Parts: sequence; structure tokens; C-alpha cells
Amino acid sequence: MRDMYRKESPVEVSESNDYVEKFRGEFDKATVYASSLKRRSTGSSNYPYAVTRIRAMKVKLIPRDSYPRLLNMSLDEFIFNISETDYRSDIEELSREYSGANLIEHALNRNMATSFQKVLRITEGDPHGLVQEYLKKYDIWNIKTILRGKLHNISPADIREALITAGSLRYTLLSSLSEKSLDEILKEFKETEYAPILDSFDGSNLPEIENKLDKFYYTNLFSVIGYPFTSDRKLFNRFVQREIDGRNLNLLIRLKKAESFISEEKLAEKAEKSESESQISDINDLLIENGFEFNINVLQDLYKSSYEQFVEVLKSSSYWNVLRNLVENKDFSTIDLTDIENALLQFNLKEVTSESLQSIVSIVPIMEYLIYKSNEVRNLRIIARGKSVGMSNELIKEQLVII
Amino acid sequence: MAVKDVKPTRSELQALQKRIKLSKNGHKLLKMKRDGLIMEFFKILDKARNVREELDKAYEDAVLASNLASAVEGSIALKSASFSVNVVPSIELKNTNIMGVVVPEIRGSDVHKQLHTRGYGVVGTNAYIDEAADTYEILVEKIIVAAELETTMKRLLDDIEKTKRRVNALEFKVIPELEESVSFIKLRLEEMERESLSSLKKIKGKSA
Repeated sequence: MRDMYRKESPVEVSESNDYVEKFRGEFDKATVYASSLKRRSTGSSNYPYAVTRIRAMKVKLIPRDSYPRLLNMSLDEFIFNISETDYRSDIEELSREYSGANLIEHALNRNMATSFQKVLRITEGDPHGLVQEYLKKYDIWNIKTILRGKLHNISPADIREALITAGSLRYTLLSSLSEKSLDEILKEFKETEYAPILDSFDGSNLPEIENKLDKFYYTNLFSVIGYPFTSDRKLFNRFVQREIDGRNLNLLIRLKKAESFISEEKLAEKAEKSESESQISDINDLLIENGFEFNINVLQDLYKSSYEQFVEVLKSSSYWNVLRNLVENKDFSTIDLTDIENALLQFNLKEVTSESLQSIVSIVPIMEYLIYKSNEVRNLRIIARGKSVGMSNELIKEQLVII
Repeated sequence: MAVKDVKPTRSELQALQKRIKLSKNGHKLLKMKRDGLIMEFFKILDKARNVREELDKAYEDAVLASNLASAVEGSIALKSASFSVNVVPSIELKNTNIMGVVVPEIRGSDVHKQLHTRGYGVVGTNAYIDEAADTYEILVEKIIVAAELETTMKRLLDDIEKTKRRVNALEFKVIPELEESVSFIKLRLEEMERESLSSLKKIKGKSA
């Protein structure tokens, strides 16, 4: 366990970031750059080779023209068609354990994890390090799932079913963790980068720990990127920042919408009972720093602002074109969150596609593959699950994000 | 009470007349109670009909939201988020009285939670999970309201039926039988009076 991680102190990172803020001179930039170099994986980058292999992998993804055909199939036809593609071996191996939509979902997740691990094997040096850090979102996911499961006495078998092993933590380790007690699990993470957060877990503050872990994921990504001197790191930085913008906007609208449903009397009644129950103590605990267009101060102001002010701020951003139809002539209570999430995901995919065309040999095509692959898995899962519960084709189609 | 079992005495007649008066009073009160319960029942019936419609709609919404969350986020994500629900709604049960009928008053607490008190971190989850949780919380709220109204309706119906049987028994069996007994005693007493009068006359004639 200890060897699996390169322990980085978040304190050291924040101190170095503050240093850059104070003195913007070249000397300091060089200091930060040096520290970022330390964090890089060893070995030289192999962009031409890696990008060529990954572009070949992207070609194998299901083309957009196939989705209407898949939509018109029954679940059995759909499973048969999918088993004729790249997912064949996963479906065959899992067909003993699962059937129907469950089989598809587990096969899709397994294939995604395998593909991401393949990307890690293909890449070397800098891109390998960046992708490895980016895929830690699945480690965070698995840690959260294990903690949730253990805290609420869920069986190890059920916890194992909910794991997605696309990150750095191996299935054997995660599987063994699912058998252990909470204390033993926390002990296992003692020497890892998650220790400072998990140490504050007292059994009653799981949502807080989950939020901290999710925020730590991005903090850690930025600490790995360091000061983006190279064009490649600038591109990766921008990619992550766009993702943060999407997450922050979604979160902000979710919170505002949830608040809009609470009547004033109810708020007052709850406030009498306990203040912490009725309102979020600090929005900063939830918002992720370093967004591309929305910095933390803007987001804080947006949280306090009215719907009209929110729309005005949105108008001045590049997200306006994609969100215009979804936010105009509405308010926080009538806004459709799922449509907004889908629109932002589509925007992110389009942005990364256009950047990938501009920076042909760079980190962007690799990241493009990662998000296209996870979007393909999302789309296929929607079709399989939708078909299994008898959803209409129109409703399924509305949820798909096809580029 | 069969007529043949009745003793044709004055004291029995008085007792029966008292029982008739009491039965008529009881019959009048029970009729009023029955009508009152029927009125209460119809009031609740309208509410229950609306709540049942809302409950059906809430169930459809919850199933759709759960299916969507399962489709878009994956059943794995939905399952993982559901692991984190740590505050189980509590139900408080009280009793109230409608015209002597004990009906339940059900109140649920911690049913509809706020976004940040659901037990999962809001940063790593999304609107599909929120909607599934939200619609199921609304469904539980509707179930609690429907349970209160439908149990009340069931108890009222039972009591209306019971009261109706009592009213009918008084109206068509008890009071007519008592009245029949009274008329029998009256006839018997009159006859006895006539008998004694004639025997008195006979005795008077012999002695004269």
C-alpha cells in the first residue's frame, strides 16, 4: 500500500502556491517549476506514439451514426450487437454472473477500466503521470463507496459490485478493503495522500469527508500540473479548469434550486432547531477552486445573487450559447438540472474535440479519448437501462450526449 | 324479547315504557351519529381521492427518476449513493377522536431532507441522484398522508357500518318488539281488569 503512492503534502503545495501569488518574479516561477518537475513521473514523454495508438483506439469507439440504430433495437438485440464490438470479451466473461442490463453495465465499466489502464500502459513520462492523476477520480469514487458501505453495514459483496477499478487502486486491494472494518480501512490509508482527510473521519461526517475528497482530487491535480510552463501542461490545465467550471456551475444551480423549494416559514422553523441543518455553513467547502471562467469569488457572489443576476453573469461567459435556451425565461425552481448537466457535458466534449484538432500531438487527444470513452459507456448504459425498464426512445434519446 | 315471556304486570309495563323511551332516544342519537360520520367520511373521501392521485403521480415520478438516475449515472452510482443515507425517517403516531371513533394522526419527520443533509457529498454527485432522492422523499411523504387518511376512512367505514346496524336493530327490531310487548301487557291488564270487574259483579249478585 505504502509503495503505491507518492505522498505529497497538501500544505507544501498551498505554501508554494501562496509564494507564487506573492512574488510573481521569474525566480519564484522557476522555483515552482522546479517543484512541479519533481512531481513528474520519471521517463521521457512519448506523445507521437501514444497519440497515434490512442487515436486508433478512438476510431474503435461507437460512431454517432450507430446510436439511432441501437436505439431502435430491443434489449436482447442491443446486447447481441454490443457483444459484437470491443465489449465482447467483457460480456462473455461476466455473462455467468449477470444478465440483461446489469450484464451490460458491469461489462461497460470493466471495459472502460481496461481501456484506461491500456492508456496508462501506452503513455510514458509526463502524459502518463497526468493521466494517472486524472484517473484518480475513480480511486476517490472507490474510497467513498467503501466508506459508505462500511458505515452502513453493507455486505462486502455489494460493496465490491459498486467498485470501478479504473484508477490506481487495484481490485485486489479494494476487494480486501471491503472485507475489513472501518478502523482497519482508515489504517490502510494512513500513509497515503488521502490520510489528512480520512484522519478527520469520525463516523458522523461522511458527506463532509466526501466533499473534501472530491475537492482534494482537483487540488491534487493542480499540484501535479504545477505552474503550467509547457504548452502541454497549459492544455491539461485548461481541460481540468473547464471540468471544474462545469462542476461548480452544476453544484451552484443544484444548491439554488434546492433552496428555492424551501418556504420561508420552513427555513425559519429549521433555523430555530439547528442552524447547521437549515443552511450550508460555508459554500467555500463545496466549491472547487481554479475554474476556467468562474473563479471562487464570482461563484460566491453568484450563490448570494438572484436568478436575474445569475443569468447576467452567465451571459458574459462562453457557456451562454449552450445554456441560453435552458435558463432564459425561467427561475431556479423551474430550471432543468439534468438538461444543464447534459449541455455542459456536450460543451466540454466539443471544446476538447476542437482543441484536439488544434493540438494534434499533445495531452489533449489522450484526454479526449478518456472523456469520449466514458461518454460512450454512459450512452450505452442509458440505452441498456432505458430499454430494460421500458423507457420511450424519445426519453432515452434526450439523455444521450452524442458528438 | 318474545311477547310470551313478558309478565303482564303494571311494573313490567312501566319498565317497558321506560325502555322504549330510552331506545327511541338512543335511536335518535345513533341516527345523528351515523349521519355525522357519513358527512365526515365524505369530507375525507375527497381528500383521500386527491391524495391517492398525488400518490400515484409521486410513485410514477419516483420510478422514472430512479430509472433515469440508474440509466445515466449507472445502478452502481445509485447504489453507492443510497449506501450513504444515514437518517431514516421517523414516524410519529397519535390518536384523535372523530365522534367517538379513534383515528390515527401520522406525522413523519426527517422525510424530505435538504440537499446537503442527505448523507452523500454534494460535490461528487449530480442532479440525477438528487432527483431520484427528492422524488422518493416526496413519495414517502405522500404515503404517510395517504396512510393517515385511508386508515381514518377505514375506521370511519367500520363505525358507520356498526352504527347503521345498531340504528336498524333499534328501529326495526328492539323498539317494535317493546311496543308489541307494551300493547300485549296493556291488553292483558285490560282483560284482567274486566275479569275482576265481572267476578266482582257476580259476587255482588250472589250476596244480594
